[in-house]
Amino acid sequence: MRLEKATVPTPFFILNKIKLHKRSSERKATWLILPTFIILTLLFVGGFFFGILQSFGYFSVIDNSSDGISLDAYRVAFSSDVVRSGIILTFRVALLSTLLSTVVALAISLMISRTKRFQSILIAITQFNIPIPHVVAATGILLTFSQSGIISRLAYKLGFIDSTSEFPIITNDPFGYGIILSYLWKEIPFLCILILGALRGPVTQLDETAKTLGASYGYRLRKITLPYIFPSILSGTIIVFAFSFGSYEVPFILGEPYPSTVSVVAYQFYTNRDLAYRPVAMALATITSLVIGLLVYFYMKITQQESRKK
Amino acid sequence: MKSKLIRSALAVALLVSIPSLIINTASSAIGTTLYTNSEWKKILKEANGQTVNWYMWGGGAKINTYVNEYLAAEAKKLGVTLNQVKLNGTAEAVNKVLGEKQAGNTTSGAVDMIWINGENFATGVQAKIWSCDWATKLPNAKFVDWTSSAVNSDFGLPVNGCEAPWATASAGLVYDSKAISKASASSLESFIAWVKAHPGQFTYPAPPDFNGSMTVRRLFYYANGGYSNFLGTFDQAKFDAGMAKTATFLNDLKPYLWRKGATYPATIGDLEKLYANGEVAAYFNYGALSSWTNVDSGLFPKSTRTGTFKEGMIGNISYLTIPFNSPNKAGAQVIANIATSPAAQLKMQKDGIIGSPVLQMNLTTLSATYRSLPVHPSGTSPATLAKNANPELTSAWLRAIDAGWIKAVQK
Amino acid sequence: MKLTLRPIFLGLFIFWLFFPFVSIILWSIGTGWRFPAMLPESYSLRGYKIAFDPSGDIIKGIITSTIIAILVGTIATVIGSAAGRAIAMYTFRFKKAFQFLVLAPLIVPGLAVTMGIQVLFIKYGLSDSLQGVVLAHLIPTIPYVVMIMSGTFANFDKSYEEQGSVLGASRLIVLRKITLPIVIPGLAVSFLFAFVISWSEYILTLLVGGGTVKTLPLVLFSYLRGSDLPLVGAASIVFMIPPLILLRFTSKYLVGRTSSVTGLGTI
Repeated sequence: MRLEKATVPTPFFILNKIKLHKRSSERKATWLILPTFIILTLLFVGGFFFGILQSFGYFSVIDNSSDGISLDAYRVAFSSDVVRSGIILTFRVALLSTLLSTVVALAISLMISRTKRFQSILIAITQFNIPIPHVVAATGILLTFSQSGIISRLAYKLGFIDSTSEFPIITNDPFGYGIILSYLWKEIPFLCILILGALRGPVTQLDETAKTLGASYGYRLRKITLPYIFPSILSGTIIVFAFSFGSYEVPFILGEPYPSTVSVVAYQFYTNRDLAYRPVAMALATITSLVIGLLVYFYMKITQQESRKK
Repeated sequence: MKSKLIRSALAVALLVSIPSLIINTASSAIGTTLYTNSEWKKILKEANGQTVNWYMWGGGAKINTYVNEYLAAEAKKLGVTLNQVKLNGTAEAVNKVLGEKQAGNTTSGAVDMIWINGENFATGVQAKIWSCDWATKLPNAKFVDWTSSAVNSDFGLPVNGCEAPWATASAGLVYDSKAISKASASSLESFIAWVKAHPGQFTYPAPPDFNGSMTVRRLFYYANGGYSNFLGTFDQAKFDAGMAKTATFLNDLKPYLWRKGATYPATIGDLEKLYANGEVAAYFNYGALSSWTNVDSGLFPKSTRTGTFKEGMIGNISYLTIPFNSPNKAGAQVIANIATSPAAQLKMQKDGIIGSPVLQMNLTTLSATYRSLPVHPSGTSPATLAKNANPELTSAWLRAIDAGWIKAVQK
Repeated sequence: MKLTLRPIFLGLFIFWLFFPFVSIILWSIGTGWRFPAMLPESYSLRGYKIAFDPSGDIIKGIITSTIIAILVGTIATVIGSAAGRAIAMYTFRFKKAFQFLVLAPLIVPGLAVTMGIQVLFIKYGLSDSLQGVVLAHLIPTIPYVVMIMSGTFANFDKSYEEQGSVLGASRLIVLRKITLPIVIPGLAVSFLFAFVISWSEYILTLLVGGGTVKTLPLVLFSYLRGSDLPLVGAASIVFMIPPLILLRFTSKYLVGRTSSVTGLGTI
């Protein structure tokens, strides 16, 4: 829409042009978002909504024809030992993984960004784990840390233990150590990449300027670097937490049959021979989504308040 | 003159009818009305060109090779393509068909055949998803003893022609002879004594894993002095009394198990990994008779042995079933017929997949070959393992015992 | 103090990152390796022989996984980039709601959505099909692409495109010769993430594909349920290689000068 001749713009004329422009740019934007919108609405919203419906008893496989909303599934879910201990375990594992991986990733990223010599090699090594599938990561952790794993055999060689049962229980354990280790193994590199990416931005110039003005490292860290990379950390921790909470493969490989995390329990309910458990699986999945959603919401509210205070 | 003609006619008629009478009584003694030749020819023709999706537990390397190489090749000869779909648990296939029924899919199901028994079969019967008019009619069904309760009742539920027997399982004890002597392994009583004297070397998968369920069931029989009290329909009072004794026994045994019984391997595969790595020295397995294949491939130590207790171990039969909505029922029946042929059954035993064929081999032409099959040094002859076999209980008992274990022992 | 401790911490970090690979490799080539032996009794390539058997599951799994991951990567990158551009460079009604829609799949576990949608997939013939699996994989991957590309387009200078069109270039040429070269880093990282997520996806593929669509994660998972550890090790190694190859080609964009990953920091 290029003007060939200069015209004397009247306010009304400008307003019209702006409105036209806005409408046509809105139209453009609509086309751009349309495919994504269709797919996510149909598949994601549709799937989620359908799951909620099934949790209320609709579309049951066994024709027990209960009309209307039934909260039976939720009642069973809340009163089930398996679910309760599963939620506790999942929280524990997800919170610890997220916390530890954030702290370690931050420390490692800062260290790498200050290391001038082998920086590119360090970054390459850190990236290496990102494309590794979680199933392989879990396998690696299992083979390394099980009671007959490599570390255990090393301990035997060094005389620390005499038999497999003396080695500490890290994999398939009640606390979830193995699961946490596997998450850390994958999530720390992921967060490092996010943070390193943020550290490369304009913040380096600010940092340099402050340095020449005499600010100490600690001061610069607190007042410049951290606030600047904060959005990336926030984003990363949310992604990591939501993933750790809802993951299936890793807890299945490295956890115990009982208690197991909510996704494993939900799938067990879904594939239970007793068909009445299907709605319970949906109920558990719905509860899980709500819990994660609420947590993320409050987390963002709190951190945004904190950053606004500064 | 007329009477002479009539008499000779009658004589000829009698002579002709007697053999057919004998043949008919023979087949009805085995209890099958097979497909006629023309019916079977029609099925073969329809099957030619079909692809059969056979859903089965995929954790057994040897059986996978057998299915994908031998059975697939035999099926190809008749124009049928065999596509094995590996499952982590048979329930997945049952759920799939259930889901299809729920969605209204009655003619183009994805599942053409399932290797199944017990509870999974019962679930399908409850939901009416099996095709039930073929299993007793297959040509090779004439070698099956349908009068035997081991065959015509699947964990207490009548088979009713809805599934064809395919594989026998005689559970056995797999153990490292370097860690436990043959004497200690010869009876359940001496074995328990060994477990208590050597803590941390024995465990079982957590029910409802099939093998875990079997181990708990066997110990249920042991704690109650036998199984005869529990045959037949489920009785709550008998169960409560029996479960109480079992819980006491198992909780008493707990501290001597691997990880002091605080946790259990999730599946038989996990348990065999523990055995292969040397974390445990003995376990119960439905597939004990194929452990020697792991010795040959170097996974298990050469000192591995299999055996049974003088008090017997549990045995059962597993089947092939065809879902109601399979579009390839002809092809599935052809494959089922191949799988239950004397040659295929014999090969199954030779490959170490089953202990003994489901067929009455003495009725087949291969009976002599069957009787002279060699036994691997770390294995046992199927006859030995089948000695004093304990039967399975009905699904209701199974579910109750599994749930009882979870409540009283796992928690 | 940090100066002297730094190499130690970094060294430990790197050691910890690589050690599990050692375990997997050793187990993939060892036989008869019982506790407490430090090294296997003997070595054999049996695991790899089974893994590379042309009629075997792993080769089939590689083909299936590759087709799906490339389809998912491409589709997700194309439509996610469009959405990312819209978010970064336009304002429109319900923009906040749309952003929420895009980010929600990161919060809601994929299992919840797939369990819910399975009945519909079966009804419309999408279950047990490659197309169905591709569709299902789009759910977790599109959000990543949108975030990355909205970050890329946020730093995008529209005037280049405008200059191009002023000089008479058609919209297609502007796209090819001006826009694309600038956003290639973002596109590369988007494709990498979408590919890797699809490549590694297990439970979604299991539910939607119903076991008939045999991707590598399904194959590896079923081997893990068994007792053949050398096979598990060999399969794991094979499983890792294509994503690593992809990383090799896109790694310069991950933490490069333009750092397209900042988009991921915009939740």
